[in-house]
Amino acid sequence: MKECEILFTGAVGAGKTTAIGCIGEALPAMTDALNVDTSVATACTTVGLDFAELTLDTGNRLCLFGAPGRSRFDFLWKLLVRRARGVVILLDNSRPDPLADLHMYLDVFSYDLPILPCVVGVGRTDTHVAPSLDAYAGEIARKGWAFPVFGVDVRRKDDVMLLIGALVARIEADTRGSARIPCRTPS
Amino acid sequence: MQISAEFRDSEGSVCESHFRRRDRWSHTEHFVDMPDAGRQGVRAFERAGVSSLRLGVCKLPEAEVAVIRTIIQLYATDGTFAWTLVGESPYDALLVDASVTQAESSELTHMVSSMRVFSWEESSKRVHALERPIRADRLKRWLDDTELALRQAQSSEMVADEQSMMKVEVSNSVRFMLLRWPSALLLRNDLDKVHMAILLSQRALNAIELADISGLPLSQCIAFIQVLRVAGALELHVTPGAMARSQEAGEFKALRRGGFGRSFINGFRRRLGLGEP
Repeated sequence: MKECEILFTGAVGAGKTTAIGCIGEALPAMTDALNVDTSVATACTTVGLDFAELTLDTGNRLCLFGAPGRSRFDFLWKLLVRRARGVVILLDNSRPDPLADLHMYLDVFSYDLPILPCVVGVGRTDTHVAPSLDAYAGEIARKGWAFPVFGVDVRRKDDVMLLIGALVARIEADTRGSARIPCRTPS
Repeated sequence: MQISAEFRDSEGSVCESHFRRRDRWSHTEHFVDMPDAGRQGVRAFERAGVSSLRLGVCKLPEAEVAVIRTIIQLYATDGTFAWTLVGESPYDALLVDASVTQAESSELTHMVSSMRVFSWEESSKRVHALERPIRADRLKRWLDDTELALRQAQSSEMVADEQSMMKVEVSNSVRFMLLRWPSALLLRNDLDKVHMAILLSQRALNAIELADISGLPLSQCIAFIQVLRVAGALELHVTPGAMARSQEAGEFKALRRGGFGRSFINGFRRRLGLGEP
């Protein structure tokens, strides 16, 4: 039996727990606590990690881990990313400076991202149109990467599927050839 | 491209006309014949988006220049007439009096890069030969023919350019990789395009490799790469021939090896309802 672990990380309130709960086959293991931070509009917040799994027809398993969003848990992010085959960065366009959030996650995972498939999902783009998805792609390109960027509503299973599907395709691209091109030098 | 014609007067003096196409792509010039077949079709097609053609004159008497200018101004009231008389290069066509000296002719040849000069006997048999005195109907017919020749040469070169681009996209020595994730407007939530973009974001591929890995038709992959190239979203990785063949062999070996396990990934796809490639 094989396992493939995917890490969901991203800003507080971006919907990591919701996304994992959306596609897990059973009730996910969650460590949510009542949110007392009034600066973030979410009733609960993850204080440990979220976990859900999907068992495939071959018996293999897809394991989904959700890292807590608060930066004081960054030691946990680095532990979780070590075993991950791919990472989903979820961002919230309604936050004061979502591009700064993006940069923070790109920096935190800068050691892993050159070899780790990654996709970026941006939430609440319907109510907060700026920054645009192109702006996110531009910031990522400045780091020398070309990660997929999607506008998503993590309450919708299709949107979460899109993120996972994109990540699986990237993992697939990694496994279907030997001549992986090294990461470009950031401009 | 340059086409030449002549004016001749009743005494047999001739006025040469040199026609050169400003080449926007290859900076090369070609002579073309003007086939009769398909003229009207090409003309109608081109005139759907009429662009101005520049006619120049050289060494013609002032009176003839005034006549030509007047004729062109009159025809210009018709919205489909493409020519304007201009005083400076670049020219699409240049009318030159045949009385120019050999030295002047050489200078013109140098300026226009290549020149075809018709003799009097030859010109009288040519459809685009011009005789003195200048007549509006003859000049108009000749300008129309010249325009047609220019447009045909232009479209045939565009086809050649497209074929050349396609050769690049399927070349073993040239591969493409995404510089940045394409705009949402370009992808339009098309899952095939998203899949191709994902593959190109992860590694440098040519169109054949992209089609092989994605399972999508080669024509679709070529078209998508062309769109991305036009959008400036791709960077080229050029590999010398021998190295490209070696790299290609390595790629296919890896494809057969399967690394992480195709069955595992296909299992994800089935479980998530994503379908198999």
